[in-house]
Amino acid sequence: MRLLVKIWLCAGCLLGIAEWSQARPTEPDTLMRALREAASPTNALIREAYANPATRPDAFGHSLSELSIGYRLQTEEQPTVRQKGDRTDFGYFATEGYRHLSEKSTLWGDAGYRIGKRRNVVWNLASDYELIYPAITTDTVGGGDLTSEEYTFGGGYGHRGERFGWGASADVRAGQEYRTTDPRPRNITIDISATLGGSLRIGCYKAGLSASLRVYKQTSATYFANPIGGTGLFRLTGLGAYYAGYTGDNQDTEGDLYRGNGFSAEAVLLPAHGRKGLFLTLGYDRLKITKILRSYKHLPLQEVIPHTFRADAAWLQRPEQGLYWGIGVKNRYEYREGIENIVAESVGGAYETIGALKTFEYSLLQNRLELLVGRESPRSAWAVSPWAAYQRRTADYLYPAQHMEHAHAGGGVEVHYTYQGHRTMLRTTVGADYFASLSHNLAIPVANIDIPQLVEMVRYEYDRRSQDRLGLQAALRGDYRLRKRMALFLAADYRIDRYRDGTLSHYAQIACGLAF
Amino acid sequence: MKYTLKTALLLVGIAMLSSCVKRDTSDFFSQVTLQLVPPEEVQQTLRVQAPVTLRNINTGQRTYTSDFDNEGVLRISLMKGVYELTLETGCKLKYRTGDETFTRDIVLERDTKLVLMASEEAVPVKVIFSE
Repeated sequence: MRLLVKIWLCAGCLLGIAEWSQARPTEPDTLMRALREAASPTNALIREAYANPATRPDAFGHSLSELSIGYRLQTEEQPTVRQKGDRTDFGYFATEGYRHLSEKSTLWGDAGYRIGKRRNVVWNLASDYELIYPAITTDTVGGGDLTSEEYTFGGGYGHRGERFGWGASADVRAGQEYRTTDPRPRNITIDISATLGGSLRIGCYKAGLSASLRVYKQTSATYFANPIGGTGLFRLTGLGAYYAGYTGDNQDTEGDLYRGNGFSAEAVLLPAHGRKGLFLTLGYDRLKITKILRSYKHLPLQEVIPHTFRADAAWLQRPEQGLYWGIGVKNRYEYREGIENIVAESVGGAYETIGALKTFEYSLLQNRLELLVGRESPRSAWAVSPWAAYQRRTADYLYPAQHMEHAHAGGGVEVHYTYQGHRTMLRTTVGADYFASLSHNLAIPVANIDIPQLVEMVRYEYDRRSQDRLGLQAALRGDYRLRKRMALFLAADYRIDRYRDGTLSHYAQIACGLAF
Repeated sequence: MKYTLKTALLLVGIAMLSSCVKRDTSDFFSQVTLQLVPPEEVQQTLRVQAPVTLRNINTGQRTYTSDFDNEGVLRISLMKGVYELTLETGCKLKYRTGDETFTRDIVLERDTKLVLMASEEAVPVKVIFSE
């Protein structure tokens, strides 16, 4: 699998280089226009409308490709979710390209590789925590740094006719994480999705439909180098509850297997030409992940089923001259089911599943209102984007009843400025935001006395998520045109968050590369 | 503009309604009737003193009860699953055989596993005298 992914990665690089050397050249003015277009703040407002491969050819008027290398650091004095660690630092390589092959055909692709460390991960021996939650396997004493590698590769093709358009795309993500101190997890993940889309022009608008299929797999095995080590592996089911009948130990070397499959469907409405008018997106994603115990004759123990509903609406008004403005509403609702299988006692080493109960429910509601005002001129552009948001998160273990709930509201503003010289372009963004905790509630009336660390784990996360948060961010990118068809760029991002208890978290990224 | 705002408000409203879901756990439970089955020599059960532990094999949850009636019947609501049933030491059965009344210690005849998946379950629990 690693060899196959490395071949894909090399192919992606070669594709980028081949486009650079052989495809229709990007003239200097066009290159600068492409960079300005890619940096436009309107992209964030209407991004979802161009996720359909049939409408993606309309996303940008100019072709642009980039190669970059960089470093990314994220650190928290007190992590919100200790199962994800308190620090990640990765070096990465990335390439992406967007090319209009003709008036009707567009090709796009991306490839990337990152390697680094995920530090101080505790209460979690698996990868992709956000995806498989709450079906996590944990130990209660160990923890530490995980070495993490990930490969990504994707691409698509879109064709737009006079009335009809169609497109197809696919994405692959593969990774591995491991630790070299006890307990020693080794996790290998693969995540593949493929999308087909179609569109139809109706007057001055275009309607599109797309459907995706997704396949996911993770193998997670934990080893103990110390033959008498091992504190017990607990297979969690949500809010500190766990499968007492399937507690692993240092003999349970085969570990867990996560198998998932899912689908998505999306409908979109957008202007047939240009970027002014109404943009609507409605989408639904469903994924079903089964956790299988390989040491128990491949017993399917749990299922996690996240459902996500997406609804975005935006209006952009762009006159030929003067101010442009936009307004957008983005809504996400995730409902996640955790299902425990009921397993009969082993007979002759065989395990039979005789029923299932939905014991865990999780919901996350996110609403966001964005405004955008800006002006563009040949030499410069500026935009101001204030926003307000509401978020409500609940988790319930149904019996014995346990409940955790948080609600937050907040807002912020971003200011963007771009300056373009003859051979240079400078872009900067600064922003500030504040998120306040409106309400929070935790009820775990049945304390798990024999594993107090699991109760501590739940209470810790509850306390961290109850914090108010103030954030400040800044981003800077400079492009210098080396030749007619190539520019060198250097970019840096930084964000700092301060929580009510005075703790800080930081995010920083620096990258350099070529745009062509 | 007016149309956009109305659409946006409708979408937000639909999203927020989705979170107002009442959770129903009635399907979780099985109404269990445990019937104590004494040895053959017992003609009439008079009283049962038998603390019982029911341990869910999958989740590890333990339920403790001793609520047998004078006829040796115990009714309890348990979460569906597979359980291991044990009697605590010192369980006693008072019974009549002929004209005489006896009180003797009882234990389970064998290890008892209960599979409780239906909404109602009736389970015989066979006991023997310990001495």
